[in-house]
Amino acid sequence: MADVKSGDIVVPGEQLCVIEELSPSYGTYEKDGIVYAAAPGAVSMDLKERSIKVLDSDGKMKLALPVSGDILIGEVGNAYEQRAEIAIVRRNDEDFHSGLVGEIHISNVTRRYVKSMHDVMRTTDIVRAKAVNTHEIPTVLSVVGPELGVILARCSRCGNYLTLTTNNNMFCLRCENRETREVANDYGQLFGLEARPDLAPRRRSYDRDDRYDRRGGGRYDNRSRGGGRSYDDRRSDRGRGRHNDRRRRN
Amino acid sequence: MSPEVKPDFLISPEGLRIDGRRPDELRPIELKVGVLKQANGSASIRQGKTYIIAGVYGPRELHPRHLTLNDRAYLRVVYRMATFSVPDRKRPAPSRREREISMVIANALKPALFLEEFPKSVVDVHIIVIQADGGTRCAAINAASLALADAGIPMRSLVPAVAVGKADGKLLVDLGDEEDKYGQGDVPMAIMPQTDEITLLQQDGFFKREELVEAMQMGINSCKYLHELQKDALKRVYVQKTSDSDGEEFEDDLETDLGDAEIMGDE
Repeated sequence: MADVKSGDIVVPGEQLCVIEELSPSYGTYEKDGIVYAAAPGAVSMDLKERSIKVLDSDGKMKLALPVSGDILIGEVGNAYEQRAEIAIVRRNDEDFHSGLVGEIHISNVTRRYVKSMHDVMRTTDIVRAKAVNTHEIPTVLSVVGPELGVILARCSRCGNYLTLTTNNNMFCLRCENRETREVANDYGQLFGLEARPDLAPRRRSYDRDDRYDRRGGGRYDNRSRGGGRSYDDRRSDRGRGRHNDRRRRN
Repeated sequence: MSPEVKPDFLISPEGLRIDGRRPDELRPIELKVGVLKQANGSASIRQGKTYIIAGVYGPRELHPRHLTLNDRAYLRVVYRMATFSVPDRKRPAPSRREREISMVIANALKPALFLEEFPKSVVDVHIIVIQADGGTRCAAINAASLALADAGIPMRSLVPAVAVGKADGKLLVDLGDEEDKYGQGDVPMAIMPQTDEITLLQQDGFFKREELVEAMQMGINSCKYLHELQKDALKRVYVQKTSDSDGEEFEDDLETDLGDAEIMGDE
């Protein structure tokens, strides 16, 4: 069998086996029918796949690029109509310093139809995404899945952090702006923002009372009717939110 | 530091060199891998009084973009000497010599790397000479190749390098500072030991043809010795890592694999 066995520590250039025994995979290369190590680490053979690879001692690939399936956190740099650029800062819950920029295409945002990238993420949003290619530049990301998506977003009008209401609908407590994002299921929770389902946009319903309401002024009427009370609510909420913020920092 | 004086002789009557070495003896070499925390790969080398640190970053996106190569990664080597690395303060601006040595080191390392696996990216190699005492370019290649391996950049082989020189008419391996300055020339060389390919060969001074051939043979022999040191240094990191994290699991792995090997034997 091969010149080495699984778990052996090898360095680049070391002979591992011949090509007929095992085919080269990550961390190895083949020359003239002989498989050599291309990276330092522990040999790991897969006798079912008939492949041999060299991995770091923790069983991962050593290279400083994301591999498929890595969970990456980053900030949206530029968002275009069909794609967004993410400056990656964290990889699998470890800080990531090499200034990598990942890409999300509109088709990798959700399984539903998305008309424009601006409806699902905008610049300065913090996004949790998954890498879908291995050791390639640019890294292609996907946010399909409940735990992936925007985890913090700012109001595009005033810059205040947006509060999640329901179903990807966002509300700015400062300027009362409404926006949409493709959020992760823990939106804002890492940053002390709580969801506010009570601020959800009013559903259009077709029962009689509602129609009666709309006749008397429609949306505008709705807003002015509850205006004074809800404004107070929001003020007090904002204070609370800030208090939370301060506590988190300490 | 006191002004340097030319030594009376570079080879003593007993045939020993200024620091008491034999002509084919290297200086004491200490290689360490993984010396920097933020770098993707790093290594340091202490060769006599020479002390060099190399850090590797990447592969990562290349800025400025116009430097990108569409079929392979760009290997960007920066060789720098610290201002305090030499007796007179070295001016901190990158000098012509530093730029050239950066290029030379890049060319010496390139043949060993599979750069074509990472198109449009860059692999940064930063080499800082903390203390210079001759042979910095070769020591830098030694450290840089270890750092590249530590970063997991796929490579054909490690690249050991050594300078062979001539002083008082005798061929010497691994020149020190005085031998370099007052000798009659030197030949820095780097090889890929598996295939005996030479990736760096420069010459300064005058050599007869026989001398050059002999110098290269001496260099290759020393490089092979250095290669063993490099392999040791690299393996030491992994043995350390496995022993202080999960030594038992490592043992288990070995056992299961023995079983695999037996199965293979039956087939």
